[in-house]
Amino acid sequence: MIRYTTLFVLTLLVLAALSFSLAYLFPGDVLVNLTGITPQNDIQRSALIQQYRLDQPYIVQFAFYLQQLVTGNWGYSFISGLPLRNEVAIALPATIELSAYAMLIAVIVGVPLGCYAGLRSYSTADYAINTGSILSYSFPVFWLALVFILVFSLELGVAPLSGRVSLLFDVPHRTGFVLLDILLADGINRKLAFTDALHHLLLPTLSIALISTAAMIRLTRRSVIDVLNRPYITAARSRGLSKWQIFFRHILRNALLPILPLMAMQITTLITNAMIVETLFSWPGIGNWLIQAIYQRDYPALRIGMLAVSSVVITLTITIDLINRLIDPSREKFERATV
Amino acid sequence: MPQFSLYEEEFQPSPWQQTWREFRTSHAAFIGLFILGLFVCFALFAPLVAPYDPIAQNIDALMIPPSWNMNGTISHLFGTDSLGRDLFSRIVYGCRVTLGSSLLLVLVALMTGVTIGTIAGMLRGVRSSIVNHLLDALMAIPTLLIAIIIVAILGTGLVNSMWAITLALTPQFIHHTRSFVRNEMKKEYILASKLDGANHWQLFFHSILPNMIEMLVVQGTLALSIAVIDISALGFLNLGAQPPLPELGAILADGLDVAYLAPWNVALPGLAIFLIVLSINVVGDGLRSALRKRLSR
Repeated sequence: MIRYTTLFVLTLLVLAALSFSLAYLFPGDVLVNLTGITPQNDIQRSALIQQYRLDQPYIVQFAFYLQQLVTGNWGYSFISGLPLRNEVAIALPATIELSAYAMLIAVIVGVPLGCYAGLRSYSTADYAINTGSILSYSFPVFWLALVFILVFSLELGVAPLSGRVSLLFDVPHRTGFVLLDILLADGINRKLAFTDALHHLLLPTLSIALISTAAMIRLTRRSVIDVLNRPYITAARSRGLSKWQIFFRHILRNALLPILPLMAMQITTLITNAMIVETLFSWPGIGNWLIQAIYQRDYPALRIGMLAVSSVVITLTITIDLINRLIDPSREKFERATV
Repeated sequence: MPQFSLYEEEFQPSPWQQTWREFRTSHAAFIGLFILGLFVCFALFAPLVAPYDPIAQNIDALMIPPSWNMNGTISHLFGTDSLGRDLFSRIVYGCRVTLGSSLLLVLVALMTGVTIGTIAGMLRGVRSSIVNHLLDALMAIPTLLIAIIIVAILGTGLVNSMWAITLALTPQFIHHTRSFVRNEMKKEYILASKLDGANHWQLFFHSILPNMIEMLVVQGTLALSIAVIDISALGFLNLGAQPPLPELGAILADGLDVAYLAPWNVALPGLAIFLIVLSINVVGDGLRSALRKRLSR
């Protein structure tokens, strides 16, 4: 536990140092990159330099930077001039929401299918599932999203093209998760708004989920096949346990354990895919925000966006590692299974 | 009957030949290898295969449909784009840019990864733990984010996006090499070599590396499919290869402007990326199961 806390804190420190050094690495003025404020004259400039401790050694600057980060003063965006903290607070939940639903679909669909394929390994059903998963695993996500848009939005018209919820519904921003916000909102037809939001969610979630599901199926299948070959399964069989008893008591538990750390590795792929899909569906998430920022060379936004996204991912990864270690202490610390 | 079975044949297949035999028994993997070979041929001999110059514009032939369409002509096999450039030539050259740069960057990532991973694997104690934790931190940063930051520092371009993806892929190689080397170091044949007085270099080159190559090939195919997808994704987002350069993702992004009028400009480059990635994945899968079968014998 202590080990994980120190690891977590140290990693966050490294990331903060990285984002601090980005202010120096990015082209342009360090002061502007760090604060997002363009000074109008020399007096304001020297005042800002004093305020941000830029005339002092790097260590002091970094300490001040950390203090600013903790107190929530993250600087301002070049383009919109708004505080970055508010912008991230709007954009990040949207991405987390999208990825969470995709992951949920991947687990709900992927694990049972993978178990089925693993139990019936080398049968026709297994080959069919395997072929399907390797096909969908190979789709480049941006192309898949484009095909979905072409087929479902433009040809069939079953799903809307972009955005999170129709502009007809005035949903106030509370938690940042659109479905929750709708449930909390007053003065609108909640049921209509809810179905509308679900329609908006459909295509982006599906295009991310398809790839994650395929990965999930492959991981589960491999893991189940590995467990099936273990001697304790033979022992259970010879004790006369029924098929279902063996499956639920012995196979499922042992097969799901090595999958957990691999899920942590899937998170980075998931977030990357979500970021790409967001730009195609104009989803107001952090990926779309970051890519707009790079097009407009909004360096303060890039610095904070990088820190925010990687902190979220690191937090998730370390939590999953920790949970994994708690339920299975026999595992070696950073052991990872293969696909 | 004797309880032991001697190998009766004169000819004893080497491990590689055994793997190849297992690999051949899977039809899917073999077809995948064939398709991958086709794409590699395209990449190598692009100037010979492509009928036109990939960036030559032809105002007399704008948006001609593919040849299987009623309005298509056989002189433009996959049709032309909104500037009258021959799509087939562009895709062939696109294979060269996308697949070629992916191969190159995977090789670079593999070399660096193996070097650092071996050093980390042979180290013990605190230093090894620090390397490990730093790697975990690096692995957790999404590829696209690394790419965005590198593009912000260095500017857009194919080479810069290659650096970004190399940086994102290296930790995986380090991780696998490190755990492999650590496991091998505990085995008895290493101990035997050590007792013979082999130093670290000799241990690595004569004992560990030959055993590691298969693992590296499998990891390399995995990394290659990721690299192709990432390179084209960056090209698509206009952060990697810049438009006149025929890169599959950039071609796709170009075709997006006329997606409704000329959907083949979006469909065919995407299909090419899909087929490249699919064939790499199928070959990688076949290789992995061939190795597994060989080792379980």
